[in-house]
Amino acid sequence: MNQHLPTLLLMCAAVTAQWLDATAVCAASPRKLFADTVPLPTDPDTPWHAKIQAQRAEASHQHAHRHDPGSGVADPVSGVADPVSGVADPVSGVADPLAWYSANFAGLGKPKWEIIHQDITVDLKVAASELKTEIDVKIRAHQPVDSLSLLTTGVSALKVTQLDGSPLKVTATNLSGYTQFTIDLAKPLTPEVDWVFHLSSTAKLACNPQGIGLYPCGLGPTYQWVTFHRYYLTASAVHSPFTSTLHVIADANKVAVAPGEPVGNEKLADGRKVWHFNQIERTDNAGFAIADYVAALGKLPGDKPLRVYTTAKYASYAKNIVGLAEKVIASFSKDFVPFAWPGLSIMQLENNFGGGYAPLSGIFMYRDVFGATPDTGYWSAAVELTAHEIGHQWWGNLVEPATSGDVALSESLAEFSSCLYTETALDSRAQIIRDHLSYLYQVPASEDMAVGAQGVYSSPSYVEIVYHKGAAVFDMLRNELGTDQLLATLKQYATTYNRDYATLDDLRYEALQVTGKDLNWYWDQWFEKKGHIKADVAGRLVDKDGVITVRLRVNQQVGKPFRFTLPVTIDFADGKSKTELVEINPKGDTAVIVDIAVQAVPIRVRLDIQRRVLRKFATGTPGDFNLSGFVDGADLVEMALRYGRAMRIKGKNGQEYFFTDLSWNELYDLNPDNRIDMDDVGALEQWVGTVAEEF
Amino acid sequence: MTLPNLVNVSTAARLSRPLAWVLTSLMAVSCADEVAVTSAVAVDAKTGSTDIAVGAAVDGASATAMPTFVGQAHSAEPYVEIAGLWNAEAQRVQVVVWIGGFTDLLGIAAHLTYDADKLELVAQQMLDPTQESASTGFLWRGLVKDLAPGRLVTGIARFRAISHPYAYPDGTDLARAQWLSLEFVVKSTGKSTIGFDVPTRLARKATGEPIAAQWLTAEVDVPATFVIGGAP
Ligand SMILES: [Zn+2]
Ligand SMILES: [Zn+2]
Repeated sequence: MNQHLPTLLLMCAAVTAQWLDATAVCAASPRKLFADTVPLPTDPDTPWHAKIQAQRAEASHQHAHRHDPGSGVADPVSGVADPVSGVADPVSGVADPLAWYSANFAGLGKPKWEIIHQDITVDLKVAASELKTEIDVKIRAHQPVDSLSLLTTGVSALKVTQLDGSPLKVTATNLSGYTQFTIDLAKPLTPEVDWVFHLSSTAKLACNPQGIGLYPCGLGPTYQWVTFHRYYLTASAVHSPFTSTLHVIADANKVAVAPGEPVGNEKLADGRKVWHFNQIERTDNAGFAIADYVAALGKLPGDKPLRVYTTAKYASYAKNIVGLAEKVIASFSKDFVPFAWPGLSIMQLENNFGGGYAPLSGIFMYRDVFGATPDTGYWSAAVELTAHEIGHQWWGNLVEPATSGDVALSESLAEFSSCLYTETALDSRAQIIRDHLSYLYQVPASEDMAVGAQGVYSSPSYVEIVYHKGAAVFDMLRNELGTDQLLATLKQYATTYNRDYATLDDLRYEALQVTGKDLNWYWDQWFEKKGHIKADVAGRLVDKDGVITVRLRVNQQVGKPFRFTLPVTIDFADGKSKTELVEINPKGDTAVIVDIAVQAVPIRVRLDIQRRVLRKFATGTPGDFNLSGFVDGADLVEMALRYGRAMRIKGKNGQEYFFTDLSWNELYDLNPDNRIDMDDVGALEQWVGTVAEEF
Repeated sequence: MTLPNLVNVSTAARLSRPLAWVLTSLMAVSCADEVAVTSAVAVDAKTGSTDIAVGAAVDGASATAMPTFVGQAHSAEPYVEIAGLWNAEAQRVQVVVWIGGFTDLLGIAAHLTYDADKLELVAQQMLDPTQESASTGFLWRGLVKDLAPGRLVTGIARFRAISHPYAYPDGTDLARAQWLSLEFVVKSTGKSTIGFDVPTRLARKATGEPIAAQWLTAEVDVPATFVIGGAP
């Protein structure tokens, strides 16, 4: 758990942008999707905002419990006093469990030494594609240490000295784009006494996309930025988030922006300006950008400032993103815990940035998001991305994943949060349905990995697995817990682990504390194992002495069948409809049979009409789509409703893509080829007159 | 996978004789709705009206007792009507199911029921309500098959000629059109009803919304003196 991977955790993939086209087309269509995707009330029996206020109050009194990861580390709550603890919240003056001084990041145990603070000056030399960096680095040892190992992005010149300029003994090695250097100290650092050294470096900027496709830096004429191309130091063996002050040098006619609080600028002797930023929170995610930025201002809960920086050309649109961000943050503050930072800056970058990046208290997004307006088809894409990045202010920043196997705590939760927001704000499950289908139809078995697998990064389908399936896995928890209990769990989790590291198992433990439900099986099935539900579903009507029952058989012909909660919707001739959540718990068997009592003979039975289950279903009585027990004309009518809905298209690279309007239902793909067409109608005709076997 | 009992009689095999003539002869009653209503309501089958919609012997005023077919005419829209006649020459009850008054109809289906002790189904054919084709962008697909004695599954639905995610299903408005034709021979004397099993009756718009319709029945009366199995 000490591996220090290049932090791709908070990225939003270029894939996001790739999807935008489809989203735009979809949203531009004035036509409502057909009946299956017309939103039903969410959790009809537990309206999800009803009790949340009360639970929040309750939970904040109970937050004392903290799950010890079992490492033998002292209880972090009562751990060694942080020098800043005991200070009241500078804003309210009241001690608040979520306030900035409660930071400890002790979930991984106390390291031998930490980076406490970095004072960083950056000077971007665009013509030379170089970044010159000067850093004063404050180190605090907790044990006597005589060597420090640190990491920065690959530098061409590196000078490390004492503050007074006297040299230090340094050995540096370059490894895959990073420079790791070790300072050998003449005498060990004294525990709990801060020591500051100075670093001066020059890095040749290589702004080609890394990892999943975001540009680490950009040197275009309009926007210049450095994000993942690290200019600050991290400890190479441990996580060591730090507070920082950042000074960005820019031409006099440009404006520099960065996460943290902007604290003014001043003119330099050469006519350029230096812009100052204060990051009072400990974090090791950052970035900065330079352009002809103008700020549009908004207000967050607690009168905290929101700053949206766009180029002058986009200034008239910025109010849309201001309004959106205010709403999303208000919503997450209510659903999870209050927004924790002193403020938020949202910054526009070039389109080729590709997606979004959300370090603590700052969000970078690609250009066109800032041109979206609520009356255009592009808006839903802008909302989805913005809400995802804002979600990272909680998931990934307030609570950081402890290991690479816990990245779901950042990306899956941010994406789930975004889906939760759009489900209400846009009145549509389109985003989460797209996530389901993305995983179900784009991940070859050879690339599949468990969401919680260590090194899940290494799968070429990382985005589909962690962002898309991961979000679906959290969304499915609503079937198990109800939305309000899931939110109560997340609230408790964010409180317990605020400014700390957490594992997926920590979240499971919080769910147990909050709901009393042991979700071991769910974690095991969805985070530790790969794959999804594949089942044949058959239905028949049983009339016993006038008591009518819809009997369903769910048959999973796989080694280890999944346990899940299945929403079953039963429609009646009088236009009424009822939805029941049915537990499918195979306990090792392949087939599960469930009975649902009904008052009248239904006209159809539908499964999971809102895609709340990560599944592919097929008819167990082939062609009996409405689960009546007969393959008849009604099934033909059902098929007509689902006709089209998806197609396979060949990309330029020859690969086939699955393309759908999101009302795709694989149940109707009788002749399985990922499209519902005349071949399927023909297949249905072969089965007409079939009666379901007895079960 | 174990499959349930299949009804192993193909539709094609059932077409024991060409049905083209049914279309032309029954086309005569596809008159304006008002006429259909008037005639059906006003005429008692026993009067031997020549209006074949309500049933009569077409071979003239023979003294021999012949089976009669009495349909119901709709009194509301949309509707599903069972029209028919006794064709003495063919010695068959010939039936056409009409649908009318529909708006945005995507598909319609039901189990058609009849008394299998009294009637034997000898021919069945789906009809095309709008004579559409790939060139008009839409086509109807239909199905009809025995499910059990006296129970026939049937349905038609309108499909686009192409399958594409943004080519949405689209229904059609139908003033009056044919859905299905059937032919029966009589097996025994007495009255029996041809109708649609209530819980299976279904029509939907392209949005999926169910359409409530008036589903009518018809009665076949085979007189006691009728000679079963008489040669056509
Ligand atoms: Zn993300
Ligand atoms: Zn069926």
